[in-house]
Amino acid sequence: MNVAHIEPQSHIYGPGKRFVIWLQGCSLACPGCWNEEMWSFKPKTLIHRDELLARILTTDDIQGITLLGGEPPQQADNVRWLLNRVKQESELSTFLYTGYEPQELHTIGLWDELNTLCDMIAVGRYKKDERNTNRQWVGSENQALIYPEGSGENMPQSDQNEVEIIIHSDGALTVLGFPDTEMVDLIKEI
Amino acid sequence: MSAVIKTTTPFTIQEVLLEALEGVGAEPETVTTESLKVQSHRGGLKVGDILTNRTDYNGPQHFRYEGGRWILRHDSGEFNGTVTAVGAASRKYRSVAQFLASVSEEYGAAYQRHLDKLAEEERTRVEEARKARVEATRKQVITNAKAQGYSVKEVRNGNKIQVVLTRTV
Repeated sequence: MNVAHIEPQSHIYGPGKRFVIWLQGCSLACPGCWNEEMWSFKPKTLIHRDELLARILTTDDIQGITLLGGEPPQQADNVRWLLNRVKQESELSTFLYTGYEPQELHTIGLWDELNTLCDMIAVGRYKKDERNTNRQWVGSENQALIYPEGSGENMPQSDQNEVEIIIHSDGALTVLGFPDTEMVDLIKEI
Repeated sequence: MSAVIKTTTPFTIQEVLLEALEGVGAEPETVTTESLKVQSHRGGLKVGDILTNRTDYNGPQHFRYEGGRWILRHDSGEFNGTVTAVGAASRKYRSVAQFLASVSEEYGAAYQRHLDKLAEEERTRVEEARKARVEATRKQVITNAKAQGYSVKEVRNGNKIQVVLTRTV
């Protein structure tokens, strides 16, 4: 799988602590996208899906996995395989972000599968003129959060802004989530 | 035929030399103003010289710091040499060359320990600086976040600190 970033125990991409995978590559190219560096399909970090599954299953104390990007459905075979295996081999919940609309997912033949394999799906393009950093798990007003029938998750999204800052052992920072401009400026000062 | 010439190890570090002299049983003693009153040597002693328990015609053989290294001052004849330390009385007197060879060997080992100690001190210093840098960053992140109205939850995860910021609308 072509992976842009992994955060094994993040707190802000769905309910509870989650193994979060940003997949590399997205052709939707939403203007104002938070992660333009994840558009390219050139290999960033290639990880065999078996290895990724093993890492997920051996990570302690997580409630689920979250896939985002990049555009996960554009690595559909591997995403389908990974979600299937996680469901078969664990009690972890699955949350997938996609920029596609439900109708588009239906057209490309993924809608039914994702509804079976996911406990939560965030759908819709990021629209910068509808940007809203206070929707907890999504970044613009038009995006919808779907809990498919039979979902193991029912925690509703709150009206709040969440940011996760990881301070590494060398003092470097990783900032995740939906920081507003002021927060970004303050972080740059550090 | 070719020559093989090896000079003795330059004894440059006092702390290491003292350790080496202890190691070979030479019972080193640093000359002080006080000890000058009771110690004597035909060539004279100075505060800071390092006495050994070896004596010769001129008095106690000792090291003096000259030209950036510690030099053993001894009678060149060695004819009258004895070992005076009571505990070492039964030992045969060893020549200066043999003595310096054994001090050199011990000095090499002590020097390695000295380097290891310096490396450990440096490692500790760098690690303390790293911890201080991380702590300063952590405080600044939290201060800035609170100033922006966020509530802060902090989680230690291995060698990382995860700071989760939440601001309810």
